Amino acid sequence: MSEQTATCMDTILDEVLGRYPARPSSLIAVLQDLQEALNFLPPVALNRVASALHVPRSQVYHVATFYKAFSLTPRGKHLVSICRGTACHVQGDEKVADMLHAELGIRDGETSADGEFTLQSVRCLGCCSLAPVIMIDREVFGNLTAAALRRALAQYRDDMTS
Amino acid sequence: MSGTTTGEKVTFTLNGRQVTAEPGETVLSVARRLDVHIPTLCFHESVSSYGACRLCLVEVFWGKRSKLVTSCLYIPYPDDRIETDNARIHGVRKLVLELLLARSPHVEAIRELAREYCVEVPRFRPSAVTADATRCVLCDLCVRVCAEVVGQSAIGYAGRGSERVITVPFGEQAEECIGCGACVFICPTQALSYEDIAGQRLMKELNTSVPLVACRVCGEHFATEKQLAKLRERITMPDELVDVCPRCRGTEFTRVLDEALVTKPRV
Ligand code: FES
Ligand code: FES
Repeated sequence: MSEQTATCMDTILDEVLGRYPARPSSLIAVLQDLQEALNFLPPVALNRVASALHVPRSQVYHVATFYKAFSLTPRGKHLVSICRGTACHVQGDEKVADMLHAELGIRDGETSADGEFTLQSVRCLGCCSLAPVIMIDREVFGNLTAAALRRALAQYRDDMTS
Repeated sequence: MSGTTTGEKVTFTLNGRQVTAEPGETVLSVARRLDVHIPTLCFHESVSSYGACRLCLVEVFWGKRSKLVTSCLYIPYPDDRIETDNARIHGVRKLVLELLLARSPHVEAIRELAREYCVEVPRFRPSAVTADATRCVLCDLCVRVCAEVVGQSAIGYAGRGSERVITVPFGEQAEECIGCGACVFICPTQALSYEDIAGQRLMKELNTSVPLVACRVCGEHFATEKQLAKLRERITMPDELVDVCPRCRGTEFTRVLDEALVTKPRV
């Protein structure tokens, strides 16, 4: 890690840790904000969080590896969540996964070569009547068809170029 | 799930017999006192109960209703009727053992229990992750002993569901680990181990090595530096004896004492 990114990381850490009381119950909130700010949770950050919140490192690591919302490796700019819940499964989540693979060349947990998209599987996004569902960042795309999926991805690709 | 918290003794029925639990005492503890056998895998009297293995299930009856509870956690209410073995309990324990045996077919403690419950070939296949027959059944004893007894919290979990494993943070050299081996000792399935090689204690599954100390008298490696530091925090020990192994400690103690008496004679 370069010196510059190290100091930048420190600033972000200080800022995020400053938002919450320094106690164990702040753990998840702090990790969420860090994930948002850094796009992943690097070991240095987790170690700092552990000592700042008085939580054993083992527990911080447990929480960070438990929730799908957290990632210990850098994620692409956009997170594509494909729902593998029961309703979406019945409505053909496999086909959606194949379409995403065809479009982006990635499978569950992988990041596209251009660093733009990361794909993850999640269980039930909570809008089963729209199955099959995917979510890109915070936007939900339901009743997916191949055309709709392509449009959705294009929208995010465009976002980046503009 | 605690029964009464009034700080009073509780009288209830255990296998048809009137018994009394101390305030806050669990059914398992009462049963053990009275020599009633209940199988357990994730219980140890030195640490808090966790309720992971589900082998200690017993059935509680109130009137016509009943339910299964883990006896290592359940604190009885007055007039509970509790059975520690019957057809329903037997069936559930058998199922649990089938699952455990499918996951960890090489663990003697599990095989033995499985035999007791007539489980030979489990109906289940291990998941892809545990297909290499892990010995760890995630009973949490190592995690608890490290946190509650040793006070280090070096070990914890990573992942969830079928990918959940026991590990140190990031799976690499953990400074918190003092190499005491409490986790190795308490593990009911021998999933953890250590080896002393070249002046280091290697906690194998934890990918962590901790420097050893040689006994000042006989020169044998007998503990880790961090273990001795911890010991000193907790008990008062004459400085001269800290780096002496337990075997040499007796004679060394007399020698130190003699020396002290010679150099500082009593007035
Ligand atoms: S199953 Fe996909 S949203 Fe519920
Ligand atoms: S001993 Fe009670 S659940 Fe394991």
